[in-house]
Amino acid sequence: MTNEVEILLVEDNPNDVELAMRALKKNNLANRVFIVKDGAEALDFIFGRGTHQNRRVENVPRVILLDLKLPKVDGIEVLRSIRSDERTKYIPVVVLTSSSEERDIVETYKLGVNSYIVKPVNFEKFIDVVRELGYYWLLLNHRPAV
Amino acid sequence: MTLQLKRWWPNHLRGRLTALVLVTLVPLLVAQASVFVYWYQTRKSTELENSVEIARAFGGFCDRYLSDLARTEGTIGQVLLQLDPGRALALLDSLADDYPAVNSFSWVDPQGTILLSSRKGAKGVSVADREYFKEVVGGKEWTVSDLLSTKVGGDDRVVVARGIRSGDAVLLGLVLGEVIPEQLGKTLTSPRSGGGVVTIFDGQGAVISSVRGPQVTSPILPFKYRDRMALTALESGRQVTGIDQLPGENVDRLAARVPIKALGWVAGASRPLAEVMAPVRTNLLYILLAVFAVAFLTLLLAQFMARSIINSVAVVREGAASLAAGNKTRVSIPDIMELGDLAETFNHMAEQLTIHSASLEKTADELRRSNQELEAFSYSVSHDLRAPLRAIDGFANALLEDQADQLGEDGQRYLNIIRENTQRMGQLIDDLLSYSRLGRRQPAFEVIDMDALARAIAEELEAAGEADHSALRICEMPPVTGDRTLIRQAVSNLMSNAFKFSSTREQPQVEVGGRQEAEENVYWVRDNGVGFDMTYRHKLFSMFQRLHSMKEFPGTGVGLAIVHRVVQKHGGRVWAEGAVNQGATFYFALPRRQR
Repeated sequence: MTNEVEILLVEDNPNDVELAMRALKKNNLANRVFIVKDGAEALDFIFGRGTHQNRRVENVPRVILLDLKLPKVDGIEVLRSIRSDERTKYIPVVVLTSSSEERDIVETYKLGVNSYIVKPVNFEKFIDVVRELGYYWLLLNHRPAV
Repeated sequence: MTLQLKRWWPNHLRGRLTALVLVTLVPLLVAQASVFVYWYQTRKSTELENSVEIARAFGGFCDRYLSDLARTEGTIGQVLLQLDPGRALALLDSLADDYPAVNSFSWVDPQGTILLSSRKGAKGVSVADREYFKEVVGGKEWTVSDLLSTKVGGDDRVVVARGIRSGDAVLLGLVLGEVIPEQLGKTLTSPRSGGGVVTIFDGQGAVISSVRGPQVTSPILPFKYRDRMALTALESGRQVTGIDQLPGENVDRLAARVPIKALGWVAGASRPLAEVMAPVRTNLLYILLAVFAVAFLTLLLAQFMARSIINSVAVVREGAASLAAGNKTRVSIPDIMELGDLAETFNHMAEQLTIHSASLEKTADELRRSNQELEAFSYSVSHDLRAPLRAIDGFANALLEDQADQLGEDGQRYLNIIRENTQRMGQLIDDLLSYSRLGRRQPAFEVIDMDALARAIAEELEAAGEADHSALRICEMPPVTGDRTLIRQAVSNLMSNAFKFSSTREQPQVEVGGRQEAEENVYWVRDNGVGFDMTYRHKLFSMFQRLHSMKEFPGTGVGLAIVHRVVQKHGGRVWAEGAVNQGATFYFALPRRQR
């Protein structure tokens, strides 16, 4: 259980990854973060395929932070796959993106996203957002056992 | 006048063609009628002339017959003078038998006493008081009497009296021929066949004899009837023509009366008008029949033509209706040239319309595409433009936190400037995006309670720390029809501005209100803030235009541009009033009815 991944960060931009990690660290949440750089790898990790075939699907992350604009498979597709599989459909997914487009928000909500957060330009605000995310999804939130 | 005509002038094609035919027929009928009247008159005058000729000829016969009789009487007289009374009487008797119109001959002495007569009982009667006797004694060679009591015979006879004179003109005696008027007429008309009724009148205008042609059925004039026209002819001595009626008979007759000068009598001829005009009337009937037939046929033809035109018009109209309904049909070309032209023009128009609508569709397509491109563009702006800004801000922050000692005071200040500008750019991008999003939004109209909307916005602004409810006064406002999201954005921007620009006052005041007008509702947001110079009021609603520095009042200059765009989308207007340091009022007017 201790090796369980708590946060899966799906993000292709290395700068954003570094800043996200910095924000997570500042909130002491960076211990069990796993980072994937595109949608395809995210699906491999979640469903234990390809390079992650030794991983057990049942060891679901506590929360997935998902960017929408991703290489190979985009964030909306990733979300759709997660929600359409019995084993993964209850994983809390928080969209963390630059896009404040209405249609993205509507689309992800239709697919059952748990939160939709626009990454603020201001880094301090970003830290605040990450802190609140961590507290809520990792500490406060209870979810059904799979 | 024109109005009257208009009321009677039919407003449909069939009626107009019929009216046209009728209008054409009327002069035709008038012409025909005048021709008929001319015929009638010509016929009448010709017939009157004929009657005159017949009367004259009849008069001539009469004159000649009686002259002959007088001449014969002269010869008789000369013979009688040579004979003894017994043989003389025998001669008179035999002569009377030879002349069918003469009843008796008599011999009268110069004193007026009848010495001999083929009529029994006439002997010894004196005729000295008779006009004819006086005339002959007076010197006339012979004369003829009017109808009279002859004294020699029966009543109502005519006497032809001849004086017999010696070589030195001494009157030796008179020969009298007693003429039966009825027989006289019969004798004279035998050479005449057909025609009408011929009549002889005596010097008093009384009918002596009236006879008719063999085929004539109309009645003759009664014996001794005193004819008005004959009297006129006697008085004037001229021929008289006209239309006459017999007493007790309601029939018009064409009549002529010609004086027989030698006898002092009048000859007359007459024919019933109806009989004379019968050929003209028959013609009239034929002509009327022909005219009505032509009129009927023309009307029929007009109806037929009208139907053909109406059908053609209907074809064009149906084609046009089909075109109007959006079908790609073409109007079929009718065989009436003008309508054919119309149909062709229609088709041409349809062609042009198709071309235009195709080009419109193309334009719409292009517009859609460019809209999509714009959307894709703003999407990538939203996504990709902010990522580097985040990196700049994030790493500048990291530098400030991790390497602050090595940066020194200036370095730290520079980094902070970098961060401020980065964040400002982020704000600009956000505002720009929301402005473009508003532009793309299709308004969904509903009735909005403006009071409630203003209160909700005030709460929201207060929660964000931008407003203070003690400074706010919301007046009663009429509701409006509009897109809730857009209107809310606009009012929110105006209220946020009002609070912002009055925040430096000791006692800030913001008032939101509205009133209803005839065509539109006018709303306003008023503050007692720093106001603005009316010189720049045209710049207020432009993108990125600001009248204050960032230091005084933060902002990107997009808020009022958004208000402008929202109001524009509702077909309304927006304007502002204010003065430096005396507050500002922003108005927007929305039409009461959305189309």
